[in-house]
Amino acid sequence: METRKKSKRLSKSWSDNSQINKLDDGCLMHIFSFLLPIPDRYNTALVCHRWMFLACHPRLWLRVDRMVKDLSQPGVFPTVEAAVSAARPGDTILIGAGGSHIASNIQIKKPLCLIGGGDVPEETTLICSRGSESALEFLSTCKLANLTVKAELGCCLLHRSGKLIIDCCFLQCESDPLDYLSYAIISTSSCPKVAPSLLKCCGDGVSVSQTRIEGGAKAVLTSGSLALQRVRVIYAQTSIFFWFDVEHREQ
Amino acid sequence: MKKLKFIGNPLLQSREKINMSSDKKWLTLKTTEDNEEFVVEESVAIMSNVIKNMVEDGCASSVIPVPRVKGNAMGKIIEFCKKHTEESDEKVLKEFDAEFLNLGPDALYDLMVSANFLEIKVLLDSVTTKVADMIKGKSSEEIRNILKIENDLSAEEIEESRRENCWTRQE
Repeated sequence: METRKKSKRLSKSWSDNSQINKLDDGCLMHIFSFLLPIPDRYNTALVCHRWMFLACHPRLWLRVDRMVKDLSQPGVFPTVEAAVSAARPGDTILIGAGGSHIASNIQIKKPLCLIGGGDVPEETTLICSRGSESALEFLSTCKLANLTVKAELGCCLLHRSGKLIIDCCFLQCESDPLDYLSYAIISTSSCPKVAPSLLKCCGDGVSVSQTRIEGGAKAVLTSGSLALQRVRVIYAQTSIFFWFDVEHREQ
Repeated sequence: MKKLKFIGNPLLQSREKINMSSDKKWLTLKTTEDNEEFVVEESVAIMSNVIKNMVEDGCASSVIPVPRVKGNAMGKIIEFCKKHTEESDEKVLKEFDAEFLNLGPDALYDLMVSANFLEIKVLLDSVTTKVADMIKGKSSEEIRNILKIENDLSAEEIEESRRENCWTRQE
């Protein structure tokens, strides 16, 4: 574990020695692109202001663009599934706004962050067609932000393990005569049977904030040992926003 | 008096002899910062995309001015390009690269900036890999110590950065 240090205003002679900061932004970002996101690029983000800005810069993110013609272009993929396969643990994927992206039973087994490229969640849509169990299936800690996920008959998000963070998204189960079969979020995660004092160590769960959920039988179905906690709802003019956690029931 | 460096056949003494005696095309690259001139084979020089485009567009008739690159960096770059055009054995090239990049940090950064400017992908990637290896596996404190970077982040900013990225940590 790193120790935190307060900022030290060091003497000028130190900054004279920092030759690496004389490299331009392009060169530094090129260096960062050679580093694994976890833990190396994350550590570089804690070095200094400039590195924090460059290491988290969107230029280092993978992009999903349905209209991409040149498939040899590095870092740009035509489908979400292709980007997820190519991503390294800890990568961020920016999904292009406009139109719909197909997302059918995409298994995510490594920590990834998926971000919608629009100004609002409604501009970036992932659609899970009939016949698929879910749009995205999570077996690792992941984060979703600024996305719309629509499911027809299946569920939007299937959470198996890890911590899933959903921020400013829109989960919609298509209204349908059979929509009682679909749920926005299904969690099958189960904490192993341990002594109550160790229960806090079970980090699995789903954390939802400022997210619209519409349609379906219920927002969350848990078939494991996790339960809905701390639900808050805000009724805005045209929609309802939810905040809740799905985690191990507090004793 | 201008310094003229011949990279190629060391036995030849003058530029006229080079132009007439071989059917290879030769180019003169001049670093505008310190006015050093280098005569190189075109096949070596076009490892740089910038020079390749100039040649293809027909702008490379006389001396090619190369700004922003110093004479000694240019010499090293030409040495690298020459080796990579002559040698095709991966293993030999790897050993050459390892030896070639055994430089101090300042020389490495100069080389990186020059390779980036001249768009020589092979050299840029080799140098970048070497610098990235200095950062891999180290904590932010260790990186600051090795690369001599001042820490201008406050404790609050570090904490905020951790929180932003906390989704990557299984906690």
